[in-house]
Amino acid sequence: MKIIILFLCFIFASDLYSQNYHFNQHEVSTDLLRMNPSSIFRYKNELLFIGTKEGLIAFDGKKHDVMLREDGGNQEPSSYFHDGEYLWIGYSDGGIFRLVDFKLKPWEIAEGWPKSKITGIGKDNIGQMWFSTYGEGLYVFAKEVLYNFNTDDGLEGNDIYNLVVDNAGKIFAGTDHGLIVCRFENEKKIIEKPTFLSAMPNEIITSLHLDQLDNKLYIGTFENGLWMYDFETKKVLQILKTNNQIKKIGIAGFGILALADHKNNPLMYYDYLNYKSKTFHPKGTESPLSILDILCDAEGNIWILCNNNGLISSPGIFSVREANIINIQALLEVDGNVFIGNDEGLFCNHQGADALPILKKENILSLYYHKSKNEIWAGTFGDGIKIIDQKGKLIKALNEKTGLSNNNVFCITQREGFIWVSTLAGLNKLSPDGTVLKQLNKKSGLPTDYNYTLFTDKSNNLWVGTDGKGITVIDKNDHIKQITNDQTIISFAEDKNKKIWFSTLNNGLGKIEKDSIRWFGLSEGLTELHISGITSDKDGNIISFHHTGMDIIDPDTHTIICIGNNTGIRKWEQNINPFFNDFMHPILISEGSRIITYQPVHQPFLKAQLIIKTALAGKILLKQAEYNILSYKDNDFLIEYAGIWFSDPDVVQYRYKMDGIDTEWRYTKDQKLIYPNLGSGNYTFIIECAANKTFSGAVTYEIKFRIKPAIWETWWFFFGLVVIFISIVYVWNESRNRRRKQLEEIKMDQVRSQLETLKSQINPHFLFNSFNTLVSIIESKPEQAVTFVEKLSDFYRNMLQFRDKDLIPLKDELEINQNYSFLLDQRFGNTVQIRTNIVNNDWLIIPLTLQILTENAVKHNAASKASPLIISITCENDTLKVSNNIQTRRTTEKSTHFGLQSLAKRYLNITGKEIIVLVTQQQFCITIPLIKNKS
Amino acid sequence: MLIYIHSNPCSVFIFTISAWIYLQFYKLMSNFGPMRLFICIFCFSLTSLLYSQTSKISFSGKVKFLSDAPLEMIKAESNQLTGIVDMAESKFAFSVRLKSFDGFNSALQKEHFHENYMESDKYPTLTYAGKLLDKPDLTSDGVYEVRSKGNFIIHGINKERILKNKIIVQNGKVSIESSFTIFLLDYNITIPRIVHKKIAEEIQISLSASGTSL
Repeated sequence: MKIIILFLCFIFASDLYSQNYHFNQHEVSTDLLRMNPSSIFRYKNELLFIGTKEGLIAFDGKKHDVMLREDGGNQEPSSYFHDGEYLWIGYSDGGIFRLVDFKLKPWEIAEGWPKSKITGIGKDNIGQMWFSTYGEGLYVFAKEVLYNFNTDDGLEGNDIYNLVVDNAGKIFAGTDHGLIVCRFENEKKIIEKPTFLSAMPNEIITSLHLDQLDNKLYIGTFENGLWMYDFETKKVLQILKTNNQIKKIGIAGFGILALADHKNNPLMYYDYLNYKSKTFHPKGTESPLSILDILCDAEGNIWILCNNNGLISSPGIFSVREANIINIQALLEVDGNVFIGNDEGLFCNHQGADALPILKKENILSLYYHKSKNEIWAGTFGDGIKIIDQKGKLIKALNEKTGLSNNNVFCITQREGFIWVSTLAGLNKLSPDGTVLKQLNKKSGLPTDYNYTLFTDKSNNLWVGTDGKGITVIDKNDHIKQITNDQTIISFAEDKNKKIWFSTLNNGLGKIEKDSIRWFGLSEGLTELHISGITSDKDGNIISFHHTGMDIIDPDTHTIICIGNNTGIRKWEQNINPFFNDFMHPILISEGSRIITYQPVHQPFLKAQLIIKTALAGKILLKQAEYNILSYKDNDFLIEYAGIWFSDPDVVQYRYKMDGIDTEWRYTKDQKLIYPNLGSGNYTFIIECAANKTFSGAVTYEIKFRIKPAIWETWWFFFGLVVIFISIVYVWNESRNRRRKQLEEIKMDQVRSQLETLKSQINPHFLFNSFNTLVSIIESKPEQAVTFVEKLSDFYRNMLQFRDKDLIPLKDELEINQNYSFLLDQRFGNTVQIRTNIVNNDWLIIPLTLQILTENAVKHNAASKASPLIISITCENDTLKVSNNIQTRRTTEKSTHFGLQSLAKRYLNITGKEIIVLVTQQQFCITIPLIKNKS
Repeated sequence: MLIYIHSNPCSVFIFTISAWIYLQFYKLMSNFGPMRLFICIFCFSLTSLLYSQTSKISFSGKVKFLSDAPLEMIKAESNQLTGIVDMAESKFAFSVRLKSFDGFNSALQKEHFHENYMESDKYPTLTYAGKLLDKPDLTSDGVYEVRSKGNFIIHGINKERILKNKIIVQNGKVSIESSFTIFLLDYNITIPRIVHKKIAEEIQISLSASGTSL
């Protein structure tokens, strides 16, 4: 009976021991639950992908995008793989897609996709892509050909549950008939059963997971639990026992998490530090009933996709244990037993059971485990050191009586086999059995007797933190050296570069460099100056504890990240050095009445990741690696991005700068930026994303582009424009000059012709002839003489009237000619006959044309009664024809030929047409172009 | 043997050819005198044995279900379970008509079962068909554990399940026993709040069937 009760107690106790992880529900959940989610995937520290019946969702912690395939196939993703460059997505209907530039692009192959659900995707070390299907066996894509492995090739069944590629590039696949290893070499399909399978029962392998870092393969079976194969030791071991099918496996900070097909307790985990399997209960939300998928990411988060809560996650690096002890001053963990010291005594939390008191009425300030003797040394305030065994039995007490310099013990540490104890009266060096060997105090060279902390570094220097007197170092030969002398030093830690860091009471952190101290305060990115203690994690990062959380400092880049929110931890302890760190187990930190376990994750350093979703200029997709050259039209710059820090999405912020526009960083929390209407020129856009305020160690994205100037902005266009303008001006000027010259010429001709006409009119011959005519008729026919004089005067008046004009109506010209012909009649009798035959006289003509031509005819030809000179003037279309019969005079009057030449020139200038002179044997004919009367 | 031949036209063809071969063989054996008949019968039975190795087995039997809810226990049984197992191809199919279930606590319960939960008029049968993951040698007597992987079609919903079954061979007779549970939610069978405590979410099913080689 007793045994049964004890056994029940043990079960109860081990259940209590199971740690609590605080889960937060994500906002995306309400949308998710509508869309029938089924799977989650995350590669390294990139976006989280959620597969639903209605498409693939990319989630960055705050926002989510739904990505749909456009070929009309089934939208439900069934498997994921990231080859370092692209995310591959296998769908339930056999479709295979890749995520390129944040868009789903079908993976096109000549053979076409499989027709069955894709259950796994992998890439071996010679670049061959592998696909496992549920119904068609395996596929391998080698040298651009897709080969199928199925029952014809030696597979026992075509249903493949999962596929993983180990570090050596071998393909492991889970089938209904156990685990198989496949190879494809020289076009030969090789299917083998791994040798270690003989140590496992013949089981259906339903899930596989590879731990790349530890080189272990985890094998989930249908009803034989979870198995672990170690590639180094080549041993296989069952780590979880269950009758329920293992559906998914993840590696969390605290152990191997498995999702089993069980309605009430589907989550189990294997604690690899204590080699125990336990059930896992997510806290902080409604207890999840039906879990669809789990995921443990590289950031340490545990993700759970379930039917009633949607998507929940926990920063799995923290778990909380109830201790029910307040004001914790010292912590120690030995073999799973946690020793807790406060001002009331020492308690032991044995394997997670309720804390039992070991030492009562003691004010415990420090705890130290002496490994070789398996003793626990408890330093008290006022009662020296109590040495006890693990069960709490007092072995020895050290105090002033046994030689300690003081009974108030602040810190106990060891160096090279000796124990060092700091008291209110200086330091004591003790042998392992407790004998005081040496005392160091103010008299022997220490700056003060009050020393809070002691720390032994890897080079065996002992660092002493004093009360207000800085840092003292005691080297291997016990020489004392002073580093600073004006601070109260609370805590020391050594980073991966063997540099010593220390925390002060209220002045932040210091890092001891070669000759100086580098200080870290709020402006360097610390969250809090009031630091309760510092330590280092397994990777050598410095951790600083304060009441709002903890700052993790990367000693190389000095990037500071604060973790505190979303952890479910209410209040972080403010007592001095309230943590325990043995560099093997998770770090223990006290919080009120609880103990927090911090399990750092396998990652070089934690930082927010920046994902660029789209970078567009106009409609052109910008590429990061290239120098993008754009036309002047694509001058609207748009960028969409996401900063990923799932541990605390709210703190993520961005700063950006567009070189060419911004001179300083601009800060934002938006996930979209637009620079519209950029002018031509060279631009470099830089964006950084960080989860801390100083942006130290932030992820940077840079994109360079050039907007080409528009055609009218180019120098050659401007140059061409100037050339064209100058030539236009030149041509215009030239033509103007020419025109002016022409006009001048015309004017000159006119003047000359007027002069000539005038000359001819007052030609003495003409006058003399006219007067002779007048004399001959004046007496015989006085009336006729009067008419003659009248006509003569009319003729001269007309001549004076029209000579200035360029053009006159043909009618007027004919009138002048009539007067002239009358004069000629009177002179020659009827021997000169002018026959005018003009019907339409709505024309313009250069003045005195007819007179000149008539005169010309008279001048050059003889006329007599027998053979009269007949001048006929006719109008043909737009020309005036003046013709006469040729009767050459015997004595020709001397001719300048000026009259006709000048007339021809004038016609050419004014009408643009030439006078046509046609000379036959009988006829002399001149054709004159007429000008249309426009008025 | 004869039944098998009659049921399969292909086998009739094979039978005809082999009969002719035997006839020739019989003539050849004439030298053996009275022994010839015996030898021929022996050879004949040898081939029929080979045939039975690849034969199909038809099953008929009964299926029970049990819903063990806090307030009420519902039991029903049908003896109209039929099925066929092809040992050569490792394939099987079982089915039962829902209306053949009987043995409810009351007539009202039966009516509710058919109308409210199973919608028997719309989805008249339960089927489970798929393939066997293990290949036992059924020629000798014994109890064999055989895992089957197949699709349940219940209430119009198709769900894959892997089940553990027992195949018992006794005196050359084959029978099957199996028991498993199904979750009503998996098959879209919802339980109204009022009868929540009367119907279990998990239904236990057990079946047994005896086979006859075809």
